[in-house]
Amino acid sequence: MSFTYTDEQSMLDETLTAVLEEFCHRSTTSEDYRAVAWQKLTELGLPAMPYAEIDGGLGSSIADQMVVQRAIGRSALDLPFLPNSIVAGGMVAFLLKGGHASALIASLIAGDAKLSFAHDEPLDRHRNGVVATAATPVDGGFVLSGVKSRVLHGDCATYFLVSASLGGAPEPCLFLVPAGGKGVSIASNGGRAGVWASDVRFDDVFVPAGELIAEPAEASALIRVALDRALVATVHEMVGAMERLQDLTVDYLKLRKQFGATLGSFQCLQHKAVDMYVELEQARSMAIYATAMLAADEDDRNAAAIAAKLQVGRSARFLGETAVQLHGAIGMTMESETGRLFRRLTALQFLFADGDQCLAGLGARPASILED
Amino acid sequence: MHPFYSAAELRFRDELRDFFRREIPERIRAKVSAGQPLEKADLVESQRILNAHGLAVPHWPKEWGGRDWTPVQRAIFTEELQRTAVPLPLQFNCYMVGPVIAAFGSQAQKERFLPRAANLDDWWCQGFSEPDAGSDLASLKTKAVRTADGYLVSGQKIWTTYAQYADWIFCLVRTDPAAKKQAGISFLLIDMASPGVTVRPIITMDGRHEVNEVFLDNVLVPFENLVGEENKGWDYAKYLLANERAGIARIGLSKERIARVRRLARQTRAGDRPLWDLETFRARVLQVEVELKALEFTQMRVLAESDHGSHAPNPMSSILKLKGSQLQQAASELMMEVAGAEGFSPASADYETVSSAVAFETYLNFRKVSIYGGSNEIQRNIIAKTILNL
Ligand SMILES: Cc1cc2nc3c(=O)[nH]c(=O)nc-3n(C[C@H](O)[C@H](O)[C@H](O)COP(=O)(O)OP(=O)(O)OC[C@H]3O[C@@H](n4cnc5c(N)ncnc54)[C@H](O)[C@@H]3O)c2cc1C
Repeated sequence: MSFTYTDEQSMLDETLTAVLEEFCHRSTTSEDYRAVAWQKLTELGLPAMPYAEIDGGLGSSIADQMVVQRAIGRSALDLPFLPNSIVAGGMVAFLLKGGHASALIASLIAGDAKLSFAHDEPLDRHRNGVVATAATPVDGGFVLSGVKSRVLHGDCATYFLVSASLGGAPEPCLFLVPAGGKGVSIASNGGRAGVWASDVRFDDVFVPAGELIAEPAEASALIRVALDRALVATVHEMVGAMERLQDLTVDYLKLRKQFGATLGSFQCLQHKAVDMYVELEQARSMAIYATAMLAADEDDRNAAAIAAKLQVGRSARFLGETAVQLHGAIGMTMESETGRLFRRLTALQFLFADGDQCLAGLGARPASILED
Repeated sequence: MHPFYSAAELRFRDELRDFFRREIPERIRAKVSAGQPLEKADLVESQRILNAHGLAVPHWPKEWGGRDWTPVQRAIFTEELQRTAVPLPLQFNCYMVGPVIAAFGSQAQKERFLPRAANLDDWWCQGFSEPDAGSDLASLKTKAVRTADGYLVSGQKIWTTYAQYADWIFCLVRTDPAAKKQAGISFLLIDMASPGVTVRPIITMDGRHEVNEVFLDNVLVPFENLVGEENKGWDYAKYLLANERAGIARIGLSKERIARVRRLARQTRAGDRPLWDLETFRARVLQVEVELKALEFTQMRVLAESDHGSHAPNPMSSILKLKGSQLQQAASELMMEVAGAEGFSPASADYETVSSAVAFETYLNFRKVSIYGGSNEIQRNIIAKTILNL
């Protein structure tokens, strides 16, 4: 049993951290840094991670992909790796493996094409993925109509992986739809509140028969895997942000002086920093646990993912708020790394499932997560 | 039912409530309710309506617009303003520099500044904090040197709220570098239009422009702009901070926010039912409501005590500040949780809808309430020392 990174993972982590370091010191998040940062990640070959070696990819394990997400977390940047590679990429890699979509996968690996998963819908909280977007069979294919919400980095995606119900079936299918297609309209939130998200409308969008890439049974199972991975990836990103906040806070306590003494000499602040650290370790543990459980059967996998999101969400709220408090006013600014990390960490608490949704999910299981 | 207010006090409350709802434009109150930032014009408009009805500065001395209200009436006034989502009269004018000038200023200063402050003809900002003088305010370094024409002021202020709107800044400056910390500080009024004053914006993590850096580079300030005596500024600042702390619990505001949370949670769908029916969520709201109730009566007890004489700040007011800011933050958390991931939808101008990023930004913004006005840690230090004698 090993709880630490392998040598390869450590190398990946260090390389990536060094590359992202440059962005940590940018004084504002108002400009759109995504294209530049994504270019750097592409140069490191990261978009190839989810794809099989026979398709020209790296065939990286999901654990390796989590290493990337955690490093991104430390940078406070919102980058498309999660929606493009871990979530939609994972599904596409599985469904289109073995050469019959080599052109698409090649352009995804080259970083020219980007995917996002268009699955959530407006006002669908606690609806557990019931999909209202409809696909109707027509000559040579299907017509899609509906609205998708919280499509991450939807404004810079080239393809959407869209879940839609075929002929009113309870379980959705998956379609691959070009973002520039006729009838597709994208409204971005402009990165507000620390998340790049779009609403995407499909108004009678024609999709050729060949772009239905998963039928209901297969699609549903795949979506459940993808969403659990998304939860775990979010948890890793949060752990990364928390690690950085912890370091910044401890450094600041050593540096800042008031009343002729460093803040770190005040015992009440030492204790706050210690409580933050304890939460960080709890969060790290759940991230490791949930990653390992991604290999378990569906029920246990899902329970671990939501339990991790719940724990890390709580730890993050406490750690983030305390980090800002201990910095004083300087921690509230957009110019400070602390402010930007806190903003992103706050938003992440709500992505894929918030605390109440996690509680509802755990409460709906007959067995305790303590029984294994 | 209210167990302690008299019939007359209840009538007083209802009249104010009706007045605020009727006279202050709904457009402005909706912004306050949603936590959306206000424009300068909103604050000016609202304060001028209040002032026209003698309600901008009821706590000032009578000759400058005060109303001679009892502490209970004042508390009711503040609470009703907040519950009806009326912007508070500009703190810097009405609760900070105004009372200081009224208590310690010259007759000429009173005549020149007080009526304009009450009507928000002059916008004041507070130049206390400096990069190295936050909680330890007395370590401030901005210096004022006497010359033939007046004081020459140099230094840097920071976190100056709304300096971008301000006509005047009241500053703590060091006039006697040889004296020990608190001694040697003076209270100066500085025209923001003076040569040598530069304002640089600071954007906070909520994306808003509320605070600034203010650089003072050899700014000439006439002697007549000194408040009270030279080197006595610390006493005036203490008086000001005690005033600032009163009403800082913002119980009315938290109540208004919680009422909004309830309203929105009933409209927000969670699966097949409203979010309000989700036990885990509702339990958190109810808990906060009970805590607010407790704080409301703690505040009443503090008020009842301050009725009997003494002008020294009641150390119990630190409890109000500490708990009050925790509850303001708790209310902002609940607002954010109602918005949930819907808050990441593209902006909607309708702030009554749940899909509003404003709730997130307000949560981020409200981290400030446990930092300014004496941080929560500083309040705990005060309580430990003055109440628990530790
Ligand atoms: C939004 C906002 C608006 C503001 N507006 C104004 C304004 O208009 N005018 C103005 O003059 N100032 C303003 N301030 C500044 C405010 O008064 C200071 O932020 C406050 O005094 C704290 O100082 P600091 O930020 O430098 O934090 P620091 O004093 O550096 O404190 C950092 C941390 O250390 C803790 N700490 C410090 N000393 C002790 C101690 N002895 N024991 C235990 N813990 C301690 C603090 O509680 C805090 O958690 C504003 C601040 C904010 C956030």
